[in-house]
Amino acid sequence: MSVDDRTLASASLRELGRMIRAAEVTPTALAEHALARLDGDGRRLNAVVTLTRDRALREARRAGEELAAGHDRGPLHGIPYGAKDLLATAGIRTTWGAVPYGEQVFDADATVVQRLETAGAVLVAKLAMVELAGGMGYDHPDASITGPGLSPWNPAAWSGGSSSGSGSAVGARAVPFAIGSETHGSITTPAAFCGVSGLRPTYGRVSRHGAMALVWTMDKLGPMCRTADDCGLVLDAIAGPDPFDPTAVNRAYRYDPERSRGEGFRLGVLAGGLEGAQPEVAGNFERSLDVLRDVATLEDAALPDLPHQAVARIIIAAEASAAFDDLIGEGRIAELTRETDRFNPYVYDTISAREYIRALRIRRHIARAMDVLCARFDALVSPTLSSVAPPADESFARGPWRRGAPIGAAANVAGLPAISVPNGFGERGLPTAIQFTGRAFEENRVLAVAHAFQQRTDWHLRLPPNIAG
Amino acid sequence: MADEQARDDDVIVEALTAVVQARYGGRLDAGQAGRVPEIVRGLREAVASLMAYPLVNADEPDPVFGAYRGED
Repeated sequence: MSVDDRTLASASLRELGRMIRAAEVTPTALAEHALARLDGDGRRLNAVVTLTRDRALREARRAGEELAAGHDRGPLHGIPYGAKDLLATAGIRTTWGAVPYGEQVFDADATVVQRLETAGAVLVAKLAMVELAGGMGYDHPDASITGPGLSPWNPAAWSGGSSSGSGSAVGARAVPFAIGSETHGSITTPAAFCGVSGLRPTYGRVSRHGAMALVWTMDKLGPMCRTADDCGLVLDAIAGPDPFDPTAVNRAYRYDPERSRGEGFRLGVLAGGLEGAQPEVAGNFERSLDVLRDVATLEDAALPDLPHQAVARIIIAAEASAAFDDLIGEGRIAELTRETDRFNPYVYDTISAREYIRALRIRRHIARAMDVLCARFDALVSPTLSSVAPPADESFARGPWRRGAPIGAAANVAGLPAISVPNGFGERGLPTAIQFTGRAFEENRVLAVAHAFQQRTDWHLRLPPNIAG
Repeated sequence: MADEQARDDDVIVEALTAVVQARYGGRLDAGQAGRVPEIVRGLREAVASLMAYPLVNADEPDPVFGAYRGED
């Protein structure tokens, strides 16, 4: 292999694809490189559940042979990636991050994994996650079968959840991209804490078939990458209808950056977005707005006055407890790692059917009100989170970590797309992030805004200490 | 009025805590049982927010159910 470690760690998907086609590196060498990095830095950061070495080397060899024969499957051909360990993989264990499922093995791949294989991508690892994607009400980073996920920027800090390993493996530059999932913050939070670009697609854009169900009406799968452009390339490969998932919408998706605008955007700056924010988060956000003024007009925007957080809370509690009815009914939640997760779901029984349905009825109002708001802009802009990552050995339920994403509940309840990209650093050398939220099925607009931001900044190019030295 | 509401809320939290105890008390240790009321109260606060939001008969949820017909 003629390419050095730092170059591989920095390269975008397009650059890696060019290197493969120029014979500067082979898919097998890339897979070996990713496997070695995951076995070292990845395991140190508690990012890895299972290395899929045999499958990776088989897929990489095939990719090399196909490309040599002139069969080019596109920009992901020969590129290694990791999948959050809630995606089924044939014959390889899928733990859902939880002890009761520690030896679970499915006999087929999730649709997303199948689509990435069709695109020629190479699965190198099943990546760590918060147990049951956090649906049992966890309050501490240690809620995982693999221990607390750690940030590549400071291993004393949490990597965020629930897509912990997807965030830290991409952040540590061990894999070029990973797949995460989000019900309420599980892509954008680890993306922010690990300094990577994380795209939460519109609900229904990506099939959930073969993914652990947590909240049927809120679960989304999406890419976590080095750049916004990379997120678009991965979404292009995984999006689309699926007969096995009735919520996967029958809308074609094509990532088409050449036809996207690079400037002239109209952005809504979310009112109250800086409330309670750490000073560095606020400062970095204000400086980011200055950058965006080069390519956009900025206007004030306010969330509609609706009970977003309460609706999210009741829907998540009701559906998550139903999704794990067997585990809860049998008392096997006692096997979960985090104390809170071992009894919290019992309390979810106190939600009545009427209350759950009321939350669903109000959600319809939220979705329509958010659409009216989002239709005025190319994207709403806000800090992804109000703080940098909390310490890995402390509960985040109280103190400065308590405050979540300012727009998280409204956007997740409404199923809207968003991308989080790094925009600086805060206390303890940890990354901060900015988030662009768009109208339903307007992923290309939020990607275009994020790409324009990244063309004018270099935060996404900064390397963590394990690479930078 | 506010005192009366708070008293009603306490009664409901107590009653729902008793439901959890009746169903799952055998699985809870003392520490877990002691934390149940605070979690019940949190959920009740969320429910109260939902109940305060006005809805009318025509406000439907978004259903995903569709009538199923197999192969003939």
